[in-house]
Amino acid sequence: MKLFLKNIFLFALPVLVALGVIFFKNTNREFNYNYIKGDCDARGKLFYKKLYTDCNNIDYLFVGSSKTMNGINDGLIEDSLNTGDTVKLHLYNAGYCRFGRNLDYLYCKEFISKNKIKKIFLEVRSDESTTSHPIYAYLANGNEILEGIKAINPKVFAELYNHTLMNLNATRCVLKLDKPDKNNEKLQLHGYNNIDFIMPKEELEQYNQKEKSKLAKYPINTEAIEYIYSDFYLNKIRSLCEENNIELNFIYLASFGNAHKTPAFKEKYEKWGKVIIGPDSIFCNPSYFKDVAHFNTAGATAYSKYLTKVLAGI
Amino acid sequence: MIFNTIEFVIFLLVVFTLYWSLFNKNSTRQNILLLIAGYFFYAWWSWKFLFLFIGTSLIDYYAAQKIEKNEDPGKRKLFLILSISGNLGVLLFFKYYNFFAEEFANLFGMNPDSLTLQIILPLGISFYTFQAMAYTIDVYRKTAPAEKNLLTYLCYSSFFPQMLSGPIERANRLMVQFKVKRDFNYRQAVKGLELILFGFLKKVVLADNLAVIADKGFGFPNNYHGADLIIATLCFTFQIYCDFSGYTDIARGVARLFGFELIKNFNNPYFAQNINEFWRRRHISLSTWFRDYLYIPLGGNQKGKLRTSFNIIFVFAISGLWHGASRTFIAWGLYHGILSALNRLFNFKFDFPKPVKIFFTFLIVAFGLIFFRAANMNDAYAVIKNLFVFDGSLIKIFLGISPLKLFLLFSTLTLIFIIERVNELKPTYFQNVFSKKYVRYSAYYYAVIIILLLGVYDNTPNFIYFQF
Repeated sequence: MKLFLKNIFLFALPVLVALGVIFFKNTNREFNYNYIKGDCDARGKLFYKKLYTDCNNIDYLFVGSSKTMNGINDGLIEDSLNTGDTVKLHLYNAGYCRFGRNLDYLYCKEFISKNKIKKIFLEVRSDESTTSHPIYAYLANGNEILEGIKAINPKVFAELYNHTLMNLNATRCVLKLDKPDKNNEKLQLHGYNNIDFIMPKEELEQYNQKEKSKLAKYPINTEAIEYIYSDFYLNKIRSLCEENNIELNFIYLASFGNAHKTPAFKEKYEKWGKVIIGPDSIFCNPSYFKDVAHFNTAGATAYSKYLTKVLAGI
Repeated sequence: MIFNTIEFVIFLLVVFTLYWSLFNKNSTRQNILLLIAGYFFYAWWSWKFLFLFIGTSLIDYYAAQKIEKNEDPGKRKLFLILSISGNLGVLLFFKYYNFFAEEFANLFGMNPDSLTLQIILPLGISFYTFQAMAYTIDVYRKTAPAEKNLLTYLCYSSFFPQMLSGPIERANRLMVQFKVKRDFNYRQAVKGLELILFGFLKKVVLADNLAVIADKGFGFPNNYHGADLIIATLCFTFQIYCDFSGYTDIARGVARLFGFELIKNFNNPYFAQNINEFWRRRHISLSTWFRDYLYIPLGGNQKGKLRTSFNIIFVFAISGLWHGASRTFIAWGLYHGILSALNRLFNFKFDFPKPVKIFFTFLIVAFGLIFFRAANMNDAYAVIKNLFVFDGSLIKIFLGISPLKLFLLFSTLTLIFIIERVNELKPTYFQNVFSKKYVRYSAYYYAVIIILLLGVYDNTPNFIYFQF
């Protein structure tokens, strides 16, 4: 048995070394962004175009989930802020569907590396994410994925696998065994994504009642161990901003009814920067929501107008 | 859990290590671990259906005990019926209810939605119910003893390498292996790993890449003609072989790692010289099941030529239905049944050279697989109709696939068939060749490199026979 295991190990060693080399190899960024499995509305491809083909410098960057993507009309805010003879600002909404602070960190890092960003507005939530973003494995490098062990990222092993698989595919493309996917997206100056649908008021109210009773039963315990993951990446985002002299602010985009009123970990964010919480007149208006969690076009317009005033004052 | 996933690799490593260390004292401990592993393996897919699985296993165990204890033929039959109706009931409900309800509704002009139910097909149901029925029938026929030890029986019914897609093992072969303590055998374990490697090569490299080509043709049968559809059909013919025999190789290899020997389910079916021989070489455990438990009880070939022909066609139609609740599978079964019956009736003896007979048998089999692969009968007709339309246009089914990949794919496929055929004709040839360490290791590493470079891992394609 021991001899068998020893021989298996010796046989597998060169294969494991080869896989290790493949895992740590930094692949072409274009390949990474094109490869994303389950890319939300092709936003990975759009971000790549924005990062690598647009010469406009981004001054204000919005980072977060689909709430940001659907809720902040960066073009509208930009036009409103750029009236008069002041220096022209360029804003970009880098909201990406689903949650995961590690992806927020990655986007902050990548956008900072390509732009002289002045301010970052990070979406904060009524409850923090406790697990990795599903597309993190495709955009992070090998070391960043291994860092997930320190961050107690519960998906770190799945990410090791997915990242290796992606790099293996990149190797196949280099060897002409496969063809990489093409990026057929056109460069878009802004990242806001609008949806016109209005969710029926009754359904929204039902959700709000459910959320309130849930909150009463299970208040959020900010000391829970699962938040270590989120905390790890929030600290990294903060350090990154400090190193690059970027002002970090937080935007709380509540779901319909604003049952929670404030984001989890609000006290911590307030030590780091300004926490922007919108008014209930927006969060409680049923005609502003396409579903319980996301603004529709009217909601995004109302919220963006509110945000413009706040940004003008910061 | 399916074999071609990282979860299975981790599961196998853990179970293998525990089996030969902590649980290695006696056969009972080994069996306890295998039982836990088997149930965990199944529950990974659905823990709810695990209870169904355990329930049917317990009914079969109980029925077999009663059959053996009772001398009264009526009572013996009663318990046999209990076991068979339990297994067939579960199978009919989960696998065939919607099919028959739809057919019934169509026949009487009703809305099929009013009769059909939202049913999930339990994984491996066709395999484990057939294995269980074989056991109780054998006990009834007194060709196998009823197993007294519940643990042994449950291990037999839930042996994870073969529980989901066979081979369908008889109690006389597999159950007896649970009764003795297994000792680690280096040679057997290495042979097991060789089979696993070979199986993975067939599945993730050949079957899953050939599926890409076959899926194009069968997915859009009206967009392709002539050579493209011929290629798609041939690709599917090789795909299904590599998929299922690859699964069986992995199953046999994994079983060997635990000291078990499973039946060889394939014996170069595409080298058969006629359709009857093809069925003696393909999915052997199922073919022999139908022979022993359906064809022979129906009278086999003992009741005249006409009845024999009927029996053959009927058994093949049922075999088609076993594969899937769809008209296409029944058509596929009938196609083979009619061909086999004709072959038997007229005893065709063509004076062609062997390679020609093999080639024609292969083409007949490949043509039949159009029904097997097509999504429905309309698609099958579309493929057949367009198969012989040659409009002079260039072959487009390979578009988007790298020429180097195609070359490696088809050369590996050829190599696999050569190895398997030579192994059949001269079993010692490769033993001698592989006795040289450098040859053996070169082959291992070649397989690993090809698996890494050409294997399909995205969305983890399932084994075709898992759906049955």
